[in-house]
Amino acid sequence: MVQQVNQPATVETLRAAVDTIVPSVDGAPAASELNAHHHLIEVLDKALPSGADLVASLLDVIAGQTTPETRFVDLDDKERGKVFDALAATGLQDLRDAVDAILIFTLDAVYSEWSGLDRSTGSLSPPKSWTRLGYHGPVLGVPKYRANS
Amino acid sequence: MVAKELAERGVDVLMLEAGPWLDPDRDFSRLEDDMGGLVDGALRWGPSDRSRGPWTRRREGVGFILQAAGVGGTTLHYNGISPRAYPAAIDDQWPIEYEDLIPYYERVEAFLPVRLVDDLATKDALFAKGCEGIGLTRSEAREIHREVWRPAHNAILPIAEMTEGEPLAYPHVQGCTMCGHCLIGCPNPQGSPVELKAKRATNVSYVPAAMATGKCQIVSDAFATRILFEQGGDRGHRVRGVRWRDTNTGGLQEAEASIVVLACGSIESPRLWLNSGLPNSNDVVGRYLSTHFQDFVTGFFAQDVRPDVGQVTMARADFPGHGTLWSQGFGPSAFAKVLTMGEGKWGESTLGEPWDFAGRSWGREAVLQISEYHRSLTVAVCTDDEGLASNNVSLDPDWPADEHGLVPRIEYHPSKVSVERRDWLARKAAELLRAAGATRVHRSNVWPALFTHIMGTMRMGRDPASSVCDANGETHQVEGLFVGDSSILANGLGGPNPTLTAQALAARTADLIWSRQLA
Repeated sequence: MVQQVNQPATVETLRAAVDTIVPSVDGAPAASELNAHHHLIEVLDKALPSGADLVASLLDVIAGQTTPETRFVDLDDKERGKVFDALAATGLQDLRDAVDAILIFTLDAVYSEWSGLDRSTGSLSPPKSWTRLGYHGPVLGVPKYRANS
Repeated sequence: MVAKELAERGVDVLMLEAGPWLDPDRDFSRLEDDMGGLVDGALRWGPSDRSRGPWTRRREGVGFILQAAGVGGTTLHYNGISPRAYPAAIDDQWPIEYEDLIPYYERVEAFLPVRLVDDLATKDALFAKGCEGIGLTRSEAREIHREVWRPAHNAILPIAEMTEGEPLAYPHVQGCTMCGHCLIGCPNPQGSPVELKAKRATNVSYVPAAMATGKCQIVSDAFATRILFEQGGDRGHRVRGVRWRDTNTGGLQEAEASIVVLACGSIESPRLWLNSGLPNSNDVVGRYLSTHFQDFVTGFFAQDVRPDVGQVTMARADFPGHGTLWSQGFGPSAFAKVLTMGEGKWGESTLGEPWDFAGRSWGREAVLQISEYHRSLTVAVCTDDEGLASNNVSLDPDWPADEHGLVPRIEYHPSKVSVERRDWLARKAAELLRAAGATRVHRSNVWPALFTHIMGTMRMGRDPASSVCDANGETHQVEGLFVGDSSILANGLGGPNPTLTAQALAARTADLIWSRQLA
């Protein structure tokens, strides 16, 4: 299998993107602290060869249109949000897909088991997001399925 | 379904499945990304080898497509809810009457089985409270002619007797253990034989029954690439077999058959037809795509609701003429997406609508709202969307073909009537949630369209100018070629979930194949 080699700027751009989606809030880690940007890169490249480079480049192009000679990483969160909005507003399915993909796979990384699963061993350390959300994780059953029963 | 029905009658059946044959105990991890990840999850639309990318399709107006490759198909990740169609959507609109379906509904309901849930989890009891708060009365009927709420009819075994602190695996428990993992594959009770797995997906119900006859061979990792046919017969063409590709080795094989039943789903069945060069003289194959134009409305409460507990759906509300609503459980990753994706932005005016915020968001506010997961109840909106010929599956001429042929292009744009019906249902969902005590309500306003119910692209009808199959499930233009999946549904059933009706129709088609062709 050919190992995907990404542009160096891709990692930094998508790190900035995932942290815009899920920043650190009240002491909880930002998405990049959970390596969400690596998950995003991995699935984008699996879905489409060089998909991660493409999406990162797209973010930079739109950033440059919003503020000339500016890269996505140079923008603040509000301005990065405008880049996402601009992509979603184009009406073009492929561009809409790009911003949806950033959202979906960042949320996957933070709220699914992804950040806590050791794929080499299969062992799971429940992500802290599950504790915050009150999620029971993978279970065999829930005997007390009705509150106050 | 058809395989089991024919094999039981002594017919030699070959069943091809594009994806893997997974073992629930060994392969279902109960983890959202591992099982449900769109790109490399175990239940994705893609080859068994998860290091390889998914199979692609081009989309216009289409967002998520929830489609599984694997023995069991979409029932691997469905929530098991099995309502019948609304009779008013069938009568005078289909080439058969609702009463023609009744014996087949009863057959499927008896076999799986489909039963009224015998209790409600907390989230579903809250949903029921909301329903009664807006004036709906409770019904247990299978046939619906008026607005009611119902405990769900699910293809899920009775709730297990469980005691806290006691083992929750087979044989200590039998039945549904209320784990909430329905959407990512049901492996519970852990260690149980397939016939006792709680959710009666076809991989643990119809498939084992077909295998038990000794007359059915199942080949997994087998992607059908061509229907083989020849000229002749009363319909101008007749089927003579199928070619498939081994998705692991790339090797091609063929089998001859006098009867072929297409059951690839509403995207791949028309794709296979078109890639095979089968006749399509009325340009109707792939058209009249319907998807129930779904949406979600979520309420937040002062108390714990636990959307992760119980069967994913245990209560529903019916609104013939508009569609249906049901309580929808989620894992946290799916919930986060439902809350933060959609058309419009949080903070924009909701224009007097009964929700407080709608559409998409990210950042601090979104993270804080997602954290309210355990106090949320999401209501799924399922619209009686109009079937339009312009909503369709075709072959994309511009994208490169994949290893199976030209890739599908899927186009969907709801009609004005469909949009109005969905808006009406969303408002009703918000009213229901407020009546249940919700302090804050969000509408997802899903767009592009969510594709979980995909129907109609090979629809049955009397007129070959506007349908692909006749009233017996046989294609108008090719003798011996039948359709046995949800693509044959002539419309969206009025809004109810399509699986049970697709299964009942397949049972009927199997009976007709036997009596008219093979007996």
